Amino acid sequence: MFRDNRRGLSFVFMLIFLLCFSFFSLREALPAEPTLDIEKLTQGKVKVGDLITKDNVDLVKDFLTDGVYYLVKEGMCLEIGPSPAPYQYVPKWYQAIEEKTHKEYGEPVMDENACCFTKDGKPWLGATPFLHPSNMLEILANEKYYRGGWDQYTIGPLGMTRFDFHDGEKIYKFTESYYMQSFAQPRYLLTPTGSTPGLEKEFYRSLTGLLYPLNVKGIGQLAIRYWDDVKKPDEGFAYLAAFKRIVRISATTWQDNKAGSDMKWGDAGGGYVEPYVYYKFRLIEKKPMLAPRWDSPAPIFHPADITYDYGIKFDGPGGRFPREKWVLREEFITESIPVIRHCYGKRIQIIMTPEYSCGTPDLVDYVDFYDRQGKLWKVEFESRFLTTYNGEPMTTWKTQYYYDVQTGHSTHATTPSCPLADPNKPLDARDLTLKLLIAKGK
Amino acid sequence: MRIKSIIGATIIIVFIVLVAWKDAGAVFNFSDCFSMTGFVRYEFGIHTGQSNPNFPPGDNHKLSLSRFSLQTEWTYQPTDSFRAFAIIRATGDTTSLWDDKLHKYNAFPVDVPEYDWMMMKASEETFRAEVWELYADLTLGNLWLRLGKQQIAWGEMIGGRILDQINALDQSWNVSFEPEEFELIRIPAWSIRGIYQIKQNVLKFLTDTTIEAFVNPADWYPNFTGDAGAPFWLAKFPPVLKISQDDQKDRRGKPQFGFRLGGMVKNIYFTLNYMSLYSQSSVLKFREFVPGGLGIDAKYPSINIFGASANYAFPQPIGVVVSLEGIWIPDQPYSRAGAALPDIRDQGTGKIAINLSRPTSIIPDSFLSASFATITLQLTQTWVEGDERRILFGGMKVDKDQESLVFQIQQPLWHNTLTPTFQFVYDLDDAYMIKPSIKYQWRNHWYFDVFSTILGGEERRPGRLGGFYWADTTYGRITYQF
Repeated sequence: MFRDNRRGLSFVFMLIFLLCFSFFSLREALPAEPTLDIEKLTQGKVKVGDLITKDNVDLVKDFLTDGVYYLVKEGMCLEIGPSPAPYQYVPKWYQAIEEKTHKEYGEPVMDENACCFTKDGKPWLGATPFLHPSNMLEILANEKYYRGGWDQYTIGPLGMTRFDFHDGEKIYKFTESYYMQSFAQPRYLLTPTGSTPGLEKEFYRSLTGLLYPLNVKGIGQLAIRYWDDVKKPDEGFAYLAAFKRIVRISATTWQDNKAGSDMKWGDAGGGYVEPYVYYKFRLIEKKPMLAPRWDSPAPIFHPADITYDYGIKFDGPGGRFPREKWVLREEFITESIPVIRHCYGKRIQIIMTPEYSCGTPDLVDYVDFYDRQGKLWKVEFESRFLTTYNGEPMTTWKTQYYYDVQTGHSTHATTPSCPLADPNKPLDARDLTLKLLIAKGK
Repeated sequence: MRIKSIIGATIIIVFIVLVAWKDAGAVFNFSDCFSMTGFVRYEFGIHTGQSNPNFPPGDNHKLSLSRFSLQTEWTYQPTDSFRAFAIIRATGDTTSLWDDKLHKYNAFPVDVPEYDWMMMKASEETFRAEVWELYADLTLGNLWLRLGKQQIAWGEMIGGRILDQINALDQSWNVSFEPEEFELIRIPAWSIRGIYQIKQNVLKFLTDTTIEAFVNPADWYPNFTGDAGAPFWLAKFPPVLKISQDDQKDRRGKPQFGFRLGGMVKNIYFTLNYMSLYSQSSVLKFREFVPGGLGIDAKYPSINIFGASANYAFPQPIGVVVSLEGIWIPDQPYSRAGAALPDIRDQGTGKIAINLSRPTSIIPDSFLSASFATITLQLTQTWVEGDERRILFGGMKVDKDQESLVFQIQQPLWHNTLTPTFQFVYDLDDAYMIKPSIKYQWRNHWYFDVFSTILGGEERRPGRLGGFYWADTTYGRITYQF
């Protein structure tokens, strides 16, 4: 009988062991965090494939900002798309750089402007500074330095930057321009890697120039952003084609409209171009939010008439609203209130979390802007499409859409960027100079 | 000739109508790397001031200007490192045809006696077609070259030329009153221009260093003013002076050159400049006695120009951009004062300017969708070394120093479709020009300018702003760009 009991107990233990082994093995195979499921979060009321209009937007109100909710009420439609998996669009080679640099340099040292340095005072060379940000300043640091690995980008091979001005009924004018940006440091893939010699104090340089219409064609601007943009504010030069001259300009007129559009110079990058010390920031919460998908159809450029085929529909009066797929992603909801005299009273910015970053150097998904009286003023959101960089798929910008809620005027900026125009001719930040500014003019 | 002008004007009008009906369209793309764009324009100027003092008494014209222009820009860019560019334009001037107070004159006096094939033009008194600019850009690593018929503009100042001395000006049809100042009147010349970028920091504190140089082997021009009888006709020599030889012919074929060093120290960008040029304004020199008067040579002596510039942008909240620019010409030619017969005397002359510019919010964005206004203030001083009583300019005495002030404010509205601008230029010896303007852009193709020049003051010597006291004009421009 004792022998029978031992046999029975052994069998039970083996069964328990097998069950545990299966369970743990299966758990290892499952993703650490489950992909977000809108059907579950809305108790089955909304599912992938549904079209959200002004009639049913209340079903997803919790996953939108007040501004986007308002746009839907005004006629914008959202198609619900499937959520990406965590880290799906963060290139593995970029993750490897992040891990390697944190192992080598430890955690960054940061000042009140979210400028990051290594412990021995050198500019931070380690890609995303905070792999698991726990406060607002760390989120801001990530926004400043996250690049998905891009060392440079240009708008050229896929088309030109086009700003469409929509008066609520139609597109009544547009401008075309080129844009080139190269990071002085750090550079991960393109030589000179690390810091560009001679530009150790700089962060990046950019060159932009107007191509159309004729009366502004040839106007160009060179901007230099320093690593510490509070101690050393941006420098700027402009080439004025009408005068055939280079002039020095103020590169810190953040509150001015860009070429008369609904976008201010400080709105670029989701509004994080201005020095952070100009604002008081607050992390409201981290939660799933609907945001534009990253696999929108790539825009097709038609050089003959300088138009784009966006591959999507447009809704609302005069086709003023692009119809994109919106998907659930984990987002930081943040608030920024200016502490200086500013045209904005407040901004609510939706910022990607590290696991739901997209590979483009800009972590902001969309923004609600409020005026000084506290009224909703503008809404901005970005769409992206997929490209391949260094052998892996990653996203790049398609459009940035700005809608002025108070006037009904909007600006649709198409910016199909390429991280690497020609792999055999990397764009060195030292090539973005006054010489090139003159050469691109007329 | 009248018929040709009417035909030319008709062609341009028909072109406007045809292009206006063109679908959507922007640039004419003949291939991936070859394109053409351009504009058609009609410009008129209603003369509202006194009669030109050079005209017979009682003759006061109504029109200062009436011109039809077709300007095309051609770009061929097969690679990133090579580009060919040309501006080809045709202009018909109907000012004297439509104003019976104006007698016949040559509306296109820009001609040279030697090698005029280099100008690549065909013109007569009321019509001209020309290749205005034609050059190729070549990028070879750190070296950028531009070869061909081009304008080279150094300096940053508005309302006047300090470092901007290389190309002569065609002031025959509207002085420098156009909104673009000099772009439409700076005469392109066959030159080689190169900019070499020094990537390595030779000196730790010096960055963005470039060396630039130009050579104009032979294509020199003088400044041109209005032909006799033109609305902006200026100097009138006394009949006793007979220009027996004009050195224009001698100067063409002679090389001009210059070079500059540019760089950034801390946050100050600077340039150091040198130019070896021939004077673009003539000075008279007695040659011999001739029947009826004095045989005079119009001379264009060589001059050496040493210059420098610096600029700095104050960060917010100051937000002001400061630019400084100055030149010294040790051998600036003048007429010798007190000479029995016309003679030339060199006297050192300097010019310096400081420009303050600030973009600022005057009208809130929410009102008229306004952008930032730009406010500019510029002070310029010209001085001569030594005893200024020993020299004359245009037959008049020269001041030891002259100062002028420019104030300008520009305020874009309605998403930059409407841009009013106000410019005030003041010569501190009591002369002024007020220049209000407004530009309206309708969609992408049409734009309309209305602007005025209102001049006055007691200082009316030749070469001074007040010397145009009679030239008050209100202009309109209608432009269709494609």
